[in-house]
Amino acid sequence: MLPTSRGRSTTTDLAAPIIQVEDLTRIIATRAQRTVILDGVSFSVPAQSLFAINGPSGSGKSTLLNLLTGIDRPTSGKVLFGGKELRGRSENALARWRGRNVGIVFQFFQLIPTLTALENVLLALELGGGGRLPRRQWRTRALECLETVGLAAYPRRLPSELSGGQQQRVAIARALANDPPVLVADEPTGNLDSTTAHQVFDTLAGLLERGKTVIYVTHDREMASRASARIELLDGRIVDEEGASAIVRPEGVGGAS
Amino acid sequence: MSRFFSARLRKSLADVTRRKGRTLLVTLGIFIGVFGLTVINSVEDTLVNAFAYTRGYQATQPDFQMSVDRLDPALLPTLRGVANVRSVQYVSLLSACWQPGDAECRVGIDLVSYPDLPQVNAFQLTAGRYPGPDGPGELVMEQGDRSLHTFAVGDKITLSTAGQSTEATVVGLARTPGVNPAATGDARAYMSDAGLQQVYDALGAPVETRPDGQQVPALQHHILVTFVATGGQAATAATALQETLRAHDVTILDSGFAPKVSVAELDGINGVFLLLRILALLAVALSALLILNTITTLVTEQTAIIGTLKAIGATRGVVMRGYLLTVAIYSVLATLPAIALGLYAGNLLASMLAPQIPLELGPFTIAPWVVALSLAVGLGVPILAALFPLWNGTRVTVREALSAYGIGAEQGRGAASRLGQRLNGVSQTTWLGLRGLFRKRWRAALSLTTLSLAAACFLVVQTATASVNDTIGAVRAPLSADMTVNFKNPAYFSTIAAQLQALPNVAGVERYGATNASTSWGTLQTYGYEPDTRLYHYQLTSGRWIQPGETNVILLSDAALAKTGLALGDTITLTNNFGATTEITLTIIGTIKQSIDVLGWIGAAILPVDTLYRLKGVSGAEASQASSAQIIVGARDRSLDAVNQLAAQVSAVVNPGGASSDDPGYYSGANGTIDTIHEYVTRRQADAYLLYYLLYALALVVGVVGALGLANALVTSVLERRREIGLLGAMGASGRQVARVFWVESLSLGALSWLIGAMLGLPLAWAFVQTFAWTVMPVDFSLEPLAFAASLVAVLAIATIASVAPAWRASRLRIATALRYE
Repeated sequence: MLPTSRGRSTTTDLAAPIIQVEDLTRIIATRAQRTVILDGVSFSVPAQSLFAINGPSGSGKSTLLNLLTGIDRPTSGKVLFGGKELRGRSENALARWRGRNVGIVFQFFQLIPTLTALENVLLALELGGGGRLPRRQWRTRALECLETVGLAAYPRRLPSELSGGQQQRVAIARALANDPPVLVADEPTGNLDSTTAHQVFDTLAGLLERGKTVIYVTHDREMASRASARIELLDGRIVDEEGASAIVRPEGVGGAS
Repeated sequence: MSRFFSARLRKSLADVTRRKGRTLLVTLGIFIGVFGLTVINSVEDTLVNAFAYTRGYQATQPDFQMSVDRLDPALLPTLRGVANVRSVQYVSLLSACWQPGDAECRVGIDLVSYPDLPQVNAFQLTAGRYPGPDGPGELVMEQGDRSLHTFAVGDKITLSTAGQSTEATVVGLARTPGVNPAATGDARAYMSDAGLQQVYDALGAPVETRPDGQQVPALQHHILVTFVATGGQAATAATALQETLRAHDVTILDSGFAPKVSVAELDGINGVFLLLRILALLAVALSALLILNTITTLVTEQTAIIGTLKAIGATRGVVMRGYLLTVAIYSVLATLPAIALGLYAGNLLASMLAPQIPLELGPFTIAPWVVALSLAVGLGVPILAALFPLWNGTRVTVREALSAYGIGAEQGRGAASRLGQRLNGVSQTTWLGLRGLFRKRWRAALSLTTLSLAAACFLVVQTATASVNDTIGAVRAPLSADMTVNFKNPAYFSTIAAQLQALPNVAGVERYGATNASTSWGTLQTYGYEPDTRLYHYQLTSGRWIQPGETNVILLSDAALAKTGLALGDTITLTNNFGATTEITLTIIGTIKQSIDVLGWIGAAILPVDTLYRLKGVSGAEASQASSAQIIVGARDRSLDAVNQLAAQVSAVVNPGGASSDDPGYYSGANGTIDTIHEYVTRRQADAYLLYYLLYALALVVGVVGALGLANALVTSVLERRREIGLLGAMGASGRQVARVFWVESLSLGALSWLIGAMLGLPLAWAFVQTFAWTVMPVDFSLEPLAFAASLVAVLAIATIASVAPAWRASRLRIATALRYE
């Protein structure tokens, strides 16, 4: 049985949002042009919620997710994770922070092709500090993570020997390895057929029962509708929201290009 | 196994074991660098040791030598007690014939014995054992004897003289500095005193007739002496030794102060070492360049993985350490076999080079410094070379790593692109390849450097070999003679000349001589001609030619004059150490254009032929016009067939008893040998093949490095341009069309490298030939225009070979996979 998050300051307080985003702007300027990807976005993510970031292609969804996880840096605005701001931390500090606090699931899985499913999960444990578990328990933990996503039977398979859905589940198991309070997923079902997509989504949704906050990006309205809270982006602005305390701005002004 | 390793170590191991193609590429790169370095250092160490051994031996050569009728062991302490005597050594010698199988006596063999064989430092036992003290018929053969006839330890050999024969068993091999059976044609073997006496008895106690008509036993006894101080004190000690011997009824048959063997000719080897050291440095530099290129490819290939690692919590240091571990594993995998094979190949190469110098190698040994340096380079250079690309590559942010594939907004604005817009009729896939050339300037510069180096190296090697070959061919060019005749005993010239002049195709016959002479600066290839020669067309570059009747004059080649630093009118002392030692001092009257064909010698010299015979030790009456040790013969019809036919006719005159001939231009008989100039030049050019092989092997290594470097750059290019490839495929491009993009990129890089290589190669080739001429052998710079075309073909071939794997990889890429990265 997979243990749940163990009493971290950034988790479990249902009254407080786990992530607060304040007036977040991301502009990419090249010699040729200046593109506003996100334009003054503000919202909060409730703890232990299934949070969707919805919108069409080019609306700034993935950039927002990258800013939430410290993968990208905002041009202006703040991201407060458990009340603490990410800005100002070095790349290495952010990497260590991610390893302990955020599990990331990519659209194209991004598994290490030369490592087996189990080794991929073990690698995340090693890099993220092992979820405060002693080293001797890492292997058991990794196997439990695989069991949680229904892949207990394939620990020794290389990614190339697994189907797309199975690879994505390994990616989820890897994201769970260090028992982070938050999992973020960028189009986690975007590369899967509809049946597999639903299975993978069910797996993600099931993590709520384990005290996790799951933030996912999708352009699929049906997937978005299953969220407990959501924001909808268009051209870098929030045009709709539900349970996210977001500042909704009208459509048709500014935005990503 | 994996249970005991951390996941990071497992990833490093998995990168090596599960990516076999890349592992092969990287380890091959490191292997080539370390292998080349080990071979070159191993050759240098082996030759330097052999050289040092030879020099060390020369320092212990006897100062004074006496031939006596008997050796009295009881007298030895008395002789050693004489003032100023450092050492006294008894030695016995018997000259016999070595009869391989049932053949007649072809090879002379000197059987040498010392009373205390294992304690004697005169030679080094390299295989087997010493003969037993009383063991009948056991001997240790000089290892160079194998160049005269094959044999192995354990074989029995037949010894004969004057119709009597006996057998002896080979129980070991030895090397003796200064003894070179391949050069002298005489074999040497060592026996115990008792063993030699038994052979002497078994051969019927043969005798020899001395010049004064006295008959003495063929078994000679010598006493070799070294002194503490030379000069007058040595003469006093020598007299004291002789008096002591006579007082004990020992008859002294002959005595004399032995000349020290000149080491000047061996100094020529330093030039070879200098070249070898340059090659070793080049091997290290190439190895580093290749590793740098390979690791850059590795990091680029793993960009997405680096991004993923960072996304799941890895810091830059953790990522770097992981890849450094992978590099360390590659290094170990490549370095260990490279050192083992390099030591083996180095020993093989040294044993091929040694006889040409000539040097005798000792038993196979592994030099710790060679292994240590190769280990340091093999394990250290890859790590150092990997640091920069890893530092640079791991700087990538997660966002860049996971999304920044394909050509950015700044691409497609270069000169190639503008040119492409103006030229119609060239396919867009071709232009796509051209535009890819300088997408990444740093990498393009790296590829261009290695490929340009390959092109320049090829040009340098071709020019150097052509220069050496042309120089060897030019040695006999001033001769209008077509063959030389070497007499075993000086022949009465007017008689033999008259006989040869009677042959229908003979245009002229002249006395001639050739030998090597030592000077303070090195060895001269020395020729003697008649002052009024018509068969040697000298080309004076300064001064004048020899006047009739002149004796103590010399002309030097320009190279020799430059090496000695002497000027016209100066004197130079020549010494001939072969046979009787002669020393003559001559005045330089001119300089001539004359090449030489021997590695390590300083140049050529021309003397009056009588003076040359005097230098060779031919005594007064024999050195006069009346006799000749060598002659040159010119033909009227100088076609190859006619000259070969004349050689046969000359041989019939010189050797009425018949002669053996292995080649149509070479005859050997009882009275002398006939060697056509064509045959001689061909043989000498063939002698230089080993040098050519060495140089071309280097060019090949540089070429392989260039090919691997280019392949790496193309692999990276394929990885970075997956989107382009996917788009091409999506638009209907066939695998062949996709492959052409990368083939064009490769060929364009090759052509550009050739241009740079040609511009660099010409001055480099000139510098290399000048260095070679100064340090190894005087050669004239000779450029073959075809070399440029050949180097272009070589570089384009390298480029094509290098593009095969990346182009194939690109053509096989699935569209969905290629586009997925976006």
